[in-house]
Amino acid sequence: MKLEDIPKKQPVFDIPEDYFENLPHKVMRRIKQPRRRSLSMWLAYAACLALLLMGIGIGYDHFDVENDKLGSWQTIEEVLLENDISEAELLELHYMSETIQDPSEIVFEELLYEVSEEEIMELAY
Amino acid sequence: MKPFLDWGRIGTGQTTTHGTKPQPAQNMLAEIDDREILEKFKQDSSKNWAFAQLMNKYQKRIYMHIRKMVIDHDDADDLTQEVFVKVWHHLESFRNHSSLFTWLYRIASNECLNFLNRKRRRFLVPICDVQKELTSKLENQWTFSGDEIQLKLQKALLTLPDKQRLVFNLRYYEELSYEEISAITGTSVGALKASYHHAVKKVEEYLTKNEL
Repeated sequence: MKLEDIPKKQPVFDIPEDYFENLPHKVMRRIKQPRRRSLSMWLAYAACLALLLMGIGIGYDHFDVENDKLGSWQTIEEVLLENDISEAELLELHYMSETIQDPSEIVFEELLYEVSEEEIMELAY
Repeated sequence: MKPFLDWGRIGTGQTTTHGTKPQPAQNMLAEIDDREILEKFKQDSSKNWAFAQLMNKYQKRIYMHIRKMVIDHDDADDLTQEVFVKVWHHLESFRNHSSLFTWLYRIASNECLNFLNRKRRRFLVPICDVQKELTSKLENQWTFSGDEIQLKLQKALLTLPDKQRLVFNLRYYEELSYEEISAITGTSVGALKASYHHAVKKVEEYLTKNEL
């Protein structure tokens, strides 16, 4: 069958009565309404907000290092007290963990924790 | 509900017969009117009047162009309103590189294609479901007109890809030149000719297969 065999007619669709009389008013009403924002626009706004919040979070962490140091020292002291660990024991642990390989590096004050007063007197005479 | 008969009110307010192209004299008058509309639209005092003239002149053609693509009246109504809302917001920036008529058709065509794409994305199985839905809407509406061969032709058109159907409608029903269709769709004249030729072949195959 050829297309020319069909009489050319505009398709006949049903349209509500007075539709075209009312259409300009409907359009004008829509124009006066604030424009709707699309979903993609809202997603873009949400992404910007998320980035901003992330930025604030990272900035806060970065500039709050001093407080963190203080906090970490305080925490160490608390742990030592709770577990009844003396500073001497902590130093010993420190040397054992091969931080200081050469014994000559150990200063006199550090040795005091290990040597009693009598031993010092004996060494002096 | 009443059947829509005089869709082709063009330019001077004269009613054309179905499918006939406006005469050159009418075209010239239409162009003068468009210029006047554009000038009046730029002035605050006559903006609303100019827009009312524009709507009065083009609303039926734009609506029918959209309706042929989306079939359903409510969808066509929504898209037609959206087209004219966009026209209101962008008409001041319209430059006379193309005619107002092709610019309006371009906006309307884009609205239709975007709408059908959105519809397709909503279904998990593409093409078939949208085609089925549009065919079913077409059949429901066609009971009033009773012209079976025209219904068959419309069903055949729904088997075409959206853009090919758009080109077919502009060429076959609106009788626009390939140059005008090229200005509307942004496709080269050669590609449009090929597209229309293939569309006609597919439609004829469908009609032969489903002969009454």
